[in-house]
Amino acid sequence: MLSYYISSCLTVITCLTLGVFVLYKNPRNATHRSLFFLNLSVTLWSAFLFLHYLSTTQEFALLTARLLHIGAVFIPSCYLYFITSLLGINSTKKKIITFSFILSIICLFLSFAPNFVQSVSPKLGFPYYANAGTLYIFWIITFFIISAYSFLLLLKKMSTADASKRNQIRYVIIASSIAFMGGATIYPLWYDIPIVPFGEHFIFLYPIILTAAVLKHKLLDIEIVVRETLIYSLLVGFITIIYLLTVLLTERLFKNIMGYQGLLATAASAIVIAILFTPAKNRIQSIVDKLYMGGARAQIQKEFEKFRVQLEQSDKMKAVATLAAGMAHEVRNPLTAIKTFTEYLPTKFNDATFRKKFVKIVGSEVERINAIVGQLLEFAKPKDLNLQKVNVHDLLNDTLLLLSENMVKDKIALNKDYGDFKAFIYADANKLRHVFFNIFKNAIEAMVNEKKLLTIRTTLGKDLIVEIKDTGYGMDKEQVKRAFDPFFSTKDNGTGLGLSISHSIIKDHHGKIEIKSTPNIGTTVKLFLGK
Amino acid sequence: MKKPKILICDDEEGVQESLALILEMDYESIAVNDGREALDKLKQDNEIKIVLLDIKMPKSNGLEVLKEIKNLRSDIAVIMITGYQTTEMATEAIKLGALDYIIKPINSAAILSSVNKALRQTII
Repeated sequence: MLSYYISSCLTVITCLTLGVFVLYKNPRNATHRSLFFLNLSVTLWSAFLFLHYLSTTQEFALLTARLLHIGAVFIPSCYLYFITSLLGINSTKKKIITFSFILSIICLFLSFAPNFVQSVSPKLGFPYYANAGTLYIFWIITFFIISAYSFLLLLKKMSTADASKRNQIRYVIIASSIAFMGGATIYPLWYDIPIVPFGEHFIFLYPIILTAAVLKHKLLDIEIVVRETLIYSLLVGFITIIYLLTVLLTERLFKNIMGYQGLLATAASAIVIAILFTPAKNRIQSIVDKLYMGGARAQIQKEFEKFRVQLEQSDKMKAVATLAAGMAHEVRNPLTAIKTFTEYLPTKFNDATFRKKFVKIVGSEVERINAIVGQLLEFAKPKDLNLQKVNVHDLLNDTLLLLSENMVKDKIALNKDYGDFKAFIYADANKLRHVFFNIFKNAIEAMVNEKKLLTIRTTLGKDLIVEIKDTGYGMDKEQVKRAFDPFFSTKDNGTGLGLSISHSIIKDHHGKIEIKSTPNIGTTVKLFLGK
Repeated sequence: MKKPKILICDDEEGVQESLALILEMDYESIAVNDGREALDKLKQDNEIKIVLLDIKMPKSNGLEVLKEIKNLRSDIAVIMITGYQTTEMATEAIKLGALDYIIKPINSAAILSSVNKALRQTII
């Protein structure tokens, strides 16, 4: 008997908790709402079943056997409502849903009739078990038809649904099978068929699986709620056992010593429960965590990893698309020239001017394609960094030296405003030099106006910041936004790869690049380098 | 007979030279590097009836330039040339009044046929 108290009590707890949780998560969603109503019906049914098992008088047993139908009659119609909402066909099945609710209401009225639940009598160890009246068969048929119809809808959808929906439906089928099979074992005994209602012990699992199916995409939430539900369900079971054991023991003890003392027995059990409650809760919590959350955490980790890989893949695809579009333009221009000049070569071979142009243009265009390919390879190269302790000030000076000739030729003034600190960081010296070179070159080439001043400032904060400021033609907001796109360039002969490469190098160093620019005033590039 | 004048607007020297080479037999071509220069040239020279216009130039957007050319002189036939092949851009160009849309790397026969068509249209 004890196992029946516990299982009906567990069903009440899991159904009510998860029903309220699902409704709280999204009260406007029809699936969530219908699952709440379904759980509410099962809760009511199970609560009266619990009281029915606890009955000590025949009248109370009969009353609870009738009252449990307040919830039970709505289970099939709420189930149909839930299934149609889940499958997104609740609006097309409106008539049949309404009809099923009407049948439920009819059954509700019938349930108070004396020949619905006729009487109660002792059966298979139960002190009181209900006997079905003549009207009861109407309810059984209604229950069977509506549930079977809902089940068929599920199976039908299973063949056409996509993989993720199919998985969800599979969960619902498992949960429904547990619930209906469990429920079905309760009724044979109503007709004196000697089958023990053992299936009832598993019904509490159905709301857990169903909620998991509905909220599958919110894995973390559901894992937490399922864990809490499990802990408290086990705790209630534990307390009930303690209570019953203590009552039983103290009853015998006190009965022998000082006759029967009901109050003392209850007080003793209350003391035992109070003492054991917290350690028991902690113990159960740690067992559930170990058994359950270990797997859940691993699964969360796995799903997160899968999501991260997908995200990276889609980012990569976007980058490849930008790259391909840019490359089409960059390569098609030199190809146009090479193609046209070769096409005219046989007819114009004797034209000296043509030959001169041919050599100049075809030669330089082939060189250009070669440069694009070279830069692309650099862009796509594996990002193995050769990290070592480097002095950023030294790297800046080395790079400036490489460009000093261009700066003198273009009459560019240089203002080195290095901070008074040792600028050591861990970085790949060659790659960082490459970044500085690209930015300096852009700055130098942008300064076509009269004022030509290149300022390099370094400051030390959370990061080491290198600020490179020019007084060139600058960029508008739209151009700044696209500055890191491969093949985007504001220069007549730029490949548009320099800043893209620099950006990816700095990213590999876990740093950041920021660009601020005003047309005709100049551009400032800020590099944030981790120390 | 005087050769008809064609304006080539492209920032690439290689493309400018290639187009000039294709057209030199029957046309006189003038090359400019960006939209601004193209508009200046069209204002100065009324004899230019056809423009070959690159869509992607560093300092100007070909479609914007097309709009301005059409505002300036609606009788000018504009043929767009581009390295990108997107239907949206082609549709947009035709909507804005471009006569044709040619994809790089260009084909000399396609250029000549398009320019001859443009010339017939400007004469009519």
